[in-house]
Amino acid sequence: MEQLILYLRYPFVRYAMIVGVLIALCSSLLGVTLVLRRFSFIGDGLSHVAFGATAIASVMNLMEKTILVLPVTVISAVLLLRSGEHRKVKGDALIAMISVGALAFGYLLMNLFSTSSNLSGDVCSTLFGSTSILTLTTSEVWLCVVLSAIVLCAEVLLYNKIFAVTFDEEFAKAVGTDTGKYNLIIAVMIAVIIVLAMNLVGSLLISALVIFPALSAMRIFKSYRKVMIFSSVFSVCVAVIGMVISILAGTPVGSTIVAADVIGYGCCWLYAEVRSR
Amino acid sequence: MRLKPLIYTAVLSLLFAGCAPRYGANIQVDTSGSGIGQVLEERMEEETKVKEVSEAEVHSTALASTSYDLVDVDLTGLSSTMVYAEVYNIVMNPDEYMGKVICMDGMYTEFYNEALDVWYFSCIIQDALACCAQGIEFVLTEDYIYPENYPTEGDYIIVTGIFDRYEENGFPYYTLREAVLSEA
Repeated sequence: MEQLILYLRYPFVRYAMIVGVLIALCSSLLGVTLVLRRFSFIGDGLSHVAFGATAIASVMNLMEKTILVLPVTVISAVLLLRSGEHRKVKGDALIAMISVGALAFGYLLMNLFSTSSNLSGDVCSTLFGSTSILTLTTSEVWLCVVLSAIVLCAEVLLYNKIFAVTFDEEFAKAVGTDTGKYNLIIAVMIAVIIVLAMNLVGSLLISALVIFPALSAMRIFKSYRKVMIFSSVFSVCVAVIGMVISILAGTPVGSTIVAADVIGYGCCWLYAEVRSR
Repeated sequence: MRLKPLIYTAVLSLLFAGCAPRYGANIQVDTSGSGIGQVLEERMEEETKVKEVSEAEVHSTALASTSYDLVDVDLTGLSSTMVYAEVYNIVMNPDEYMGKVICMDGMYTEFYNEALDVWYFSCIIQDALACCAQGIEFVLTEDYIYPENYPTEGDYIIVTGIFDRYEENGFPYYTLREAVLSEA
């Protein structure tokens, strides 16, 4: 405990906690929507797109990579979430195609045009997060706070509309809801969260932040509101526990948080099983 | 523009981690006139071949006439994740640590710059994924004779020194001056 208090005196640890909590909260809220719409894998696909965009930004020597990464990820999210009835390549196939394509091109570009002396380190930290969350600058923390606040406000203010579009898009459309607009908003929010979460767990592990809290909540609760609340609490607690363990034990931050997510899901599953008997 | 020197510092640190050659039989010493070079030159002039250095000699603290009772930034008790983040912080915000006594532990590595004919010594720590590394250069006190009293590359070391800045070829670099090694 003394060690933890000592570590909390470091500004970068406090920044990491703030950003980690915000990312966990936002990702869990949207996670429920994505899981219910059978878009669980979209986080993975978009994170690979973000990796590809990061590679391009690195090659271009951009100091603020978010300037490029965020718009590219948003555009990809919009393309992926667009109603796909008339598309020749649909749903999961499209996600897989964009995902592996972006990953391959990203790594290829970094290999061919890398300006870094530690290519494997750059790739590794982008894919697995490394200690990125502990090396954030003040401006990055503020950017994260502002974007998270926007996502949270949108989620709260548009709760009813997102709920309607999530459960029955056709019905929502029939009663006059502009589903296209709300799909676009959801897509933008997903992209923003993916870009932010790359700092926390890296691009390969982002899906865990989206899927595990929602699935854990769904094991225990059935109502949409309760699932949303439990999912948020679960995600924030697990993220804090993961970060604390990581800082104290010197383990990789991203994989520790995801491991805590898996254990948390296991506990929820066990609780649900025991309760049902 | 201010970021440029920091980038060079970071790149140099990474170079130490990834590209530092092991010294062989033909060790050359610094003759460029920089601080470390002068010390090494004086101590190495009579040396004609590399001597085998025992572990006891490498980590001997009896060599150091300098000692630090008060350490401003002690990284030795921190977890590897914390050390990596704090060293990153030092490298990115060096002005905040100028003149402070820093104690750190990590892997000893050395780097010979052929163009400048200068040896550099640094303490490297790796992140939890072991794919990234951060390091701080140090200059040991004159009590340490190279290579007898220097560690072998890859050794675990504890080094304490005063964080300072110097310029080389017009670029700023950061180092722990008047550094001493402690018992591991």
